[in-house]
Amino acid sequence: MKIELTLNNRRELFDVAPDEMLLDTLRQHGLKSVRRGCDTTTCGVCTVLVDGLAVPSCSYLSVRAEGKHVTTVEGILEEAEKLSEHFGDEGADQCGFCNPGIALSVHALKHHVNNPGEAAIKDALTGHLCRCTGYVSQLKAIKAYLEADEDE
Amino acid sequence: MKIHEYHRPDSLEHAYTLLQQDKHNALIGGGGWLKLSKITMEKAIDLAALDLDYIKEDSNAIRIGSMTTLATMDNHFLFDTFYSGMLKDAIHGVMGVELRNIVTLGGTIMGKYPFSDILTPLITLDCELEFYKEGVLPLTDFLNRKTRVNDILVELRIKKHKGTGYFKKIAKTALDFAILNVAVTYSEGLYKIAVGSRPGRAKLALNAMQSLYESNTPDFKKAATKACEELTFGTTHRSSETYRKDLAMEYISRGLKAVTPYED
Repeated sequence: MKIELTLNNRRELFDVAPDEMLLDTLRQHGLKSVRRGCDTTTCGVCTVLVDGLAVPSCSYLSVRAEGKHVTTVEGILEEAEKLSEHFGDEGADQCGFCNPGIALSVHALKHHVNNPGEAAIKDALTGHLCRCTGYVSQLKAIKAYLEADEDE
Repeated sequence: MKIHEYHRPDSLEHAYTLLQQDKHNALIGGGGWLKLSKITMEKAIDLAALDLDYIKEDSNAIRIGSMTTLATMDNHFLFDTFYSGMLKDAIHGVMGVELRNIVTLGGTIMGKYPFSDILTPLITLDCELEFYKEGVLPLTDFLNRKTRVNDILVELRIKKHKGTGYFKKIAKTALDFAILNVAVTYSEGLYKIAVGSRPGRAKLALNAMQSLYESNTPDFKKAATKACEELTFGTTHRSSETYRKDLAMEYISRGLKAVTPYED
């Protein structure tokens, strides 16, 4: 099936199978930041934004993305780099496998919640499994990033 | 999961016609659990283009379109206070926001999932479902029906009674399915108690509810014991039958206490 969507602000055409998941379409397109973790909607490493909403791409049919805006971490690079500096400062950046998914969820949080506090950040982290940390360093890093972002 | 053909009809009639064509044709709601199922669909019928993503309110009921996502419900002001925010508590505990952004209310209802945290509070409320051809059906009748309803769920209507509510999900981690979930409501002199993930699907404890209704001085411990006697519990890898029963006993009592209006 031929579908057209806007991927990281560029119109792209894809030929997808009816049961193909967005994760596979994006990875076949070379976007290896979108990762396959549990493949069952639990771990969050496959998170992408569809029309600004964070969704698990492992369980999102590619055909459903037709006409929509899809964003991966490559589409928010400047923002992700700033966030990763805070991750580094707090020691939240260990293997880094879960970082792209978290960066996209933080982006969505910033755009959907006014002045997100600790509870909102924890909520945004709930859908992400990190096997290196205990989430405290990530919580601190995201908090610092959001504060710095507000000051800019 | 295998899909041979994908269709996104632009009318309910078209969607319904496709559904009736072949028993291997099936509807797609949010698609959150699609990947985990072993289904093979000849034609997958996506309901995304039917404008069924809405939350409306009239004088009698809150009307929620079947394609409304759990995230939309979670963020809607109506559920902040309705029955003490019970539905919001239940929705908010479903996985992370990423999954809530795709899972739909209609998919949750039609799936009749035994682990559902949403069905448990819903059956304590006065709810009815509107199907495209079958018309209106009380939620509990639909859930108890043994045969498959081969129709399209259009919306859920929750009657706007005034009441208080309590919901508790007990799970080993935030992302796990519930070992048990409990919902208790009180409205106009009537208590309702529902227990889900027992591991069976959510059920009302009708005998316990009746005894509370008949008593002038309700005994919550006694009602919880009665509820645990009439409901069945089982053992799975998540929990033993005894543990589930103990949890139910405690959280039903707490729920009854929480929803009871304070009297001077």
